[in-house]
Amino acid sequence: MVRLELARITFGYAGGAPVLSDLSLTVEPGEVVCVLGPNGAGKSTLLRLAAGLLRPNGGPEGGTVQLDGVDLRRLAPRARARRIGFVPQALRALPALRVRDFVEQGRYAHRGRFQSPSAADRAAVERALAEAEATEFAARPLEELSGGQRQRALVARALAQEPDIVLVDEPTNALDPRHQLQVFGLVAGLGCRGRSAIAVTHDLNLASQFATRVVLMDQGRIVADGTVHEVLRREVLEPVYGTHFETGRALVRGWGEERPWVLPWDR
Amino acid sequence: MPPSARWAFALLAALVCALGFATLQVGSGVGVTLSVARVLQSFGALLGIGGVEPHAALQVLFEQRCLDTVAIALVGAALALSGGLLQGIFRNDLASPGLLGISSGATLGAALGVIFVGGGMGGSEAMAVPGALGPAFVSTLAFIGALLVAALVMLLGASGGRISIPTLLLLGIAANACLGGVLAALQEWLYEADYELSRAVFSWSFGNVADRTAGQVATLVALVPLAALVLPFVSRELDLLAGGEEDAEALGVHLGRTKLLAVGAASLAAAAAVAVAGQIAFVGLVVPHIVRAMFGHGHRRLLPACLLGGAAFLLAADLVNHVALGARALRPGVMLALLGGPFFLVLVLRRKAEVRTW
Repeated sequence: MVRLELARITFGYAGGAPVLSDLSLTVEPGEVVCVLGPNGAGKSTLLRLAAGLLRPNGGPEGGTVQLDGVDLRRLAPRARARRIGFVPQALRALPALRVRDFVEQGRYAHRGRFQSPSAADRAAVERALAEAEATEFAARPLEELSGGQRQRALVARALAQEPDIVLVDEPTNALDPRHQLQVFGLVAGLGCRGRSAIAVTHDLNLASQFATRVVLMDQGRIVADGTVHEVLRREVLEPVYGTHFETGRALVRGWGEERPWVLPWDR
Repeated sequence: MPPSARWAFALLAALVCALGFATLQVGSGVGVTLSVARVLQSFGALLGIGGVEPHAALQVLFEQRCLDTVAIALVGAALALSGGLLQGIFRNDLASPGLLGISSGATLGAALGVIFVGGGMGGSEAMAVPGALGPAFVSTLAFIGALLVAALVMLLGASGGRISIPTLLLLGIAANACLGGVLAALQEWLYEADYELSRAVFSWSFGNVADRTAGQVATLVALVPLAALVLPFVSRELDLLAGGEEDAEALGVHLGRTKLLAVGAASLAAAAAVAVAGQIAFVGLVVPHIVRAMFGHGHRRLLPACLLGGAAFLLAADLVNHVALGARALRPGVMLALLGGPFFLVLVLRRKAEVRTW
C-alpha cells in the first residue's frame, strides 16, 4: 500500500525544452489511473519519472517524486524495485531465456546476492505466471512467442516483483482485442487488491472500461483529471486531440455500470 | 547448477591441467621435450619431496617452464574474463579488451618503458642494460598505461554519474586511433635510430609468453583473482542487462555500480595480461563465444567458465604453435590474429543472419 506523489515536476531532456512543466499528480492505494493524451504530451516521460528511471531536473524548481513521503532519489534501486514495477512497451533486445526464467528476473530485488531462489520466490513466479495466463507457455523460449504472449510475459515479470504499484507503458499495442481486455484486466485487478497502477495508453475505450481515474495530458501539463465520466467527454477530448469524437455509453460487466465509449470520427 | 554444467566445468578444469602438463613437457621455446616421469620428478624436486633433481640445468629449465605455463594460463584467463565482462556490459558479443584502448595503452606504456631502460620482454628479448628490474619496469609502465587509458575513457564517457555505453565505445575507438598513431610514429623513428629497440617495441604489439619472470607471474597471480572477485557482484546484473539498461534499472539493478565494477575489473584483468605478455588479440573475443556455446548465456556460469576456457585456449594455442611450427613458431599475437581474423568474420556473417528483436 503506497501513495505515489509527483509534486510540481518540471522536466526536460538535456539541452531540450521542458517536456513536463509544473506537473503534480498523486496516486492513492487502490487507484488504477490511465494516462491519456496525444503523441508528445509527455505521458511516457511522466511514467519514467514515477518509476524512478528518470530524475526530475535538479534544484528546487525541478520538483520531487515521493513514495509514502520518501524521495525516490533516496531509495536504493533494489528497494525501489520491490515497491514499483515497470512494464516497458518492449525490451531493447530479446533475452535468450525461457519464459519462467524471464519472469524469475522479477525476483532480483527480493533475493540476497548469494541466495538461490527460495520457496517464496518460486511461489511468486508461479503466481505471476498464473495471473498473466502465461503458465501454459512458461517452458518456451521468449523468441518463440507471439507478440501477445511476450506482452503477458512482461506483465508477469512485473507481477513477480510483487510491487505496491505497477507502471505500464502502452501495454496493448501489439495485442488483439481479447488480449487487450485481458492485459488491462490484469492491471486493473491490482487495484482491487490494494495495489495501484498507472497505465499510459492511447486506447480511450480500454481506459474507460478499466480505470478508476483518468488523467488527460497535453503539452506537458495535465488538462483534465477525474472519473471516466468527467474526462471522456467530447468537450474535453476534442480540443486536446484536435479531432471529432462520437460518444455513447455501454454497460461494463466488471463495474456493473455504464461507462462512456468514444470513437474518433472524421465528420 | 545442473549436473551437466558441473561436468562441463570439471572437464574444462581437467583440460587446463592436461594442457598445462603438456606445456611443461614441450615448453614455450625451442628446446628439450621432457618425459612425463622427468616432469613429475622435477615437480618433486621443486616442492622439496623426492630428493634433489640430479640435472641442475634441467631443473632450471623446468622451473622456467613452470613460470611460463602459469603465465600463459593466467594471461588467457584474464583476457577471456575481460572479454566476457565487456561483452556483457556492452550487450554486444563483438566487444573485446582491445575495444576500450586498454591494450593500446599498455603497449604504449611498455614501448616507453622499453625505450627508457632499453629492455624488451624480459629473458630472450632483454637487452644488456636493464638487468633484473628491466621487465618489471616495463610491465609496470604497461600496466599504468592500460589503466590510465581505461580510467580516462571511463571518465570522459561519464556524465552526471552515468556511463554512456555507446560513448564509451566511440571513445575507445578514438583512443585506439590516437595511441596507435603515437606507437607507429615511435616505431618509425626507432627503426631509423636503433633497430634492436624497435624490435623490442614491436614484440609488445604481438605478445610474448616465453621466459616470463617470477615477478611478472606474481603480478598475474595477484591481479587476476582480484578482478575475478567482482563476479558475484555483476553476474546476475549482466543477465538482467540483456533486455536493456532501463529494463535492468527497473528490476532493481544499480546501473552505475555494475558498469563501474564490470568495466573496472575488465580493465584490470586486461591491463595485467598485456603488461606481462604484450598484446595478444582475439582471446578476449573468441573464448567467451566458445564458452557461451557450452554454458549458455547466464553470466554466473559464463564468466567463471571464461577463466578456465581462456587458460585452456591460450595453452592449446601455444602448444599448437610450438609443436606444429617448431623453430618457426610465431608470436602468439600473430598466430591468434591469423586464426582469429577468419573466426571473427564467420561470427559477423552468422550474426547478420540472426538478429533478434523484441
